[in-house]
Amino acid sequence: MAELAKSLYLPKSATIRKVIPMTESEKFYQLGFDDGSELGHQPGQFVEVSLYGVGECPISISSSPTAKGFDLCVRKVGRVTEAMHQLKEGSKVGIRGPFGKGFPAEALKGKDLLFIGGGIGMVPLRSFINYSIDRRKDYGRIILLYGSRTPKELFNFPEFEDWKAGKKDVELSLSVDRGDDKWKGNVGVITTLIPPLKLDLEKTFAIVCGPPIMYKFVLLALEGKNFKDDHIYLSLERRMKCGVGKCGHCQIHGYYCCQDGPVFHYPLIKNIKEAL
Amino acid sequence: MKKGVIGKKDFNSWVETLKKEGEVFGPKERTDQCWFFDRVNNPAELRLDYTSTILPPKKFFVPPRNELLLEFNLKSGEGKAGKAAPDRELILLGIHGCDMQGLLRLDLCWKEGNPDSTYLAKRAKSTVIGVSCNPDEYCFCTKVESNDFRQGFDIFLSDIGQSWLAEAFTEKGEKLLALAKTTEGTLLDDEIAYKAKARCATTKGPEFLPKVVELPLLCIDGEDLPFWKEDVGQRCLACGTCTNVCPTCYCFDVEEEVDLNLTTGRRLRRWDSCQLEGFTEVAGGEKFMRDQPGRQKHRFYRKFRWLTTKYGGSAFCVGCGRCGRQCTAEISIPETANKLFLGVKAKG
Repeated sequence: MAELAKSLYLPKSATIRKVIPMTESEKFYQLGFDDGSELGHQPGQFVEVSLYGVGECPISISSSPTAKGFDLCVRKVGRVTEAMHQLKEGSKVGIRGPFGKGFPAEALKGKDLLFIGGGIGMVPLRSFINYSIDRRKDYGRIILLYGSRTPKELFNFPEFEDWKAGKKDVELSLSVDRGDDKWKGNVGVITTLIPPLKLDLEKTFAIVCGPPIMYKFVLLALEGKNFKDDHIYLSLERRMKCGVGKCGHCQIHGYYCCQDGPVFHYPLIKNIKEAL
Repeated sequence: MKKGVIGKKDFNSWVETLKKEGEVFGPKERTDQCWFFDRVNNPAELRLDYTSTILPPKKFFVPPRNELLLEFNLKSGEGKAGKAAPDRELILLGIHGCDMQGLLRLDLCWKEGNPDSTYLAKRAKSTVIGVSCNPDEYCFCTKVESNDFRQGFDIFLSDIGQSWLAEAFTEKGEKLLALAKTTEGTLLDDEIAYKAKARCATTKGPEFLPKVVELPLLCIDGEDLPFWKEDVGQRCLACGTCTNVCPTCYCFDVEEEVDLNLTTGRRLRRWDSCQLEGFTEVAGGEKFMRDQPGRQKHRFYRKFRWLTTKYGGSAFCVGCGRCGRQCTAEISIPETANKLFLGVKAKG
């Protein structure tokens, strides 16, 4: 056997440069590698975040590769993420990656982008949205449908106010499942935002990320809009434990979500029952 | 290729010389008809007439638990990769054709895409000496085309009665064979050796209706057959034994261990099983393989559809029969394959 690669499982040291609380259970982190290198990712890829003594977990990259450093948005939901929420600016974490197939940013040049994000699914979409804003001439319309359960759970990303004000040429529609006293926007599941859209179907591609339950209904709504299957990309959640296509936890039939995904072209997974 | 005949009375002294070349492991008997691979301290313990061990030789390259991936220091925040290759050559003595095929399948998977140096370093530092088999009614290597007595082996030993016929296929193997006291074999020895090799085909194993080449297609056509749910999925107890004893299953989990000094620790790899309920569970609580029929199908399809089509046609079941021998619910690969075959044929 020829030359052996170095360990697949050794993380690279990174420092948390900034922590911004987002919601009750989510925090936003800006990080950079200690050796000064850049992550060099594609929008839609993920990293394995490693806290020695606690463990490792897959987290979507939220920043555009056009920015310096990289952003992660972490929901406190398991052992590693709870420990991560205790970390302050200046803390070190280990990073492996980037891993997987991201959104097809090259292939979608010149197209209208319809982003559909539910809850924490907004996090990886932000990477591609900011990328398309930074390369504005390369893309057509940037339409974003973003839904969450309640107004409090909407992420307040640093640039979010600009999007809401229409400053960055993002056509943003928000919806919440349940409003509160202050909420004056749409109330209802995210699929209610789809029928009123005026789209050039030949030119528009849907990029969807949300909780597992959301896909079925979004796909039905897109179908109702006569969307073609091959105009849809979905980013899926799985237990991507090793990130390098070995451990088996994220397997969707023959695909390893960590290598063949997490972004899938819809026709590839349409007929796999367990996929969606 | 170099060949030689080793008299059985001279065999043990050869094994003693092998121990000077590396760490020698081989089949031993724990209790009646219960064999396992273990370190050979005394060559007389070797049971080369064994049928099958509880665990396949994958345990030498991917240990069941506590395999060191990383060491870390919580004070300095530094981590470093664990040393992958052992100091001494690992000499596996007495490996059957099916188990060798199992290792070759694992080589493909660990090398593919992102090569796993932790596994590959150990494999590179290993020598495999095969032995002709003594099959039982669970063995079906010939049905899945895994009866190969050459590929992957450094040396292959065939039982020819009072002697072993040894064939060395690699430089490593020739070097080791040169240490044995050998005589030249005859054509008759070759024929007797072949009979020993062909016992896999001449012993009556389980019925296995489909051909390997058609199994991926049967998997596609048989996805919705009711027997997945009503039969195997219903009977399976979700214990994970089948994947533990499988020579080609390699799914793993990783866990963290911190020493009592709360400073040093390590990241360790251990086997996991797609048959366990929490296998696909994510932190949010969602499980993507929701029921046992789905998990049973997953295991079968990994053997005969997904990895088979990905890696060019070989089944990822090598017919060793271990899962069938160990299954409390008496589920076996041949039984499942037959039900799939008959179910798809009945659909027309």
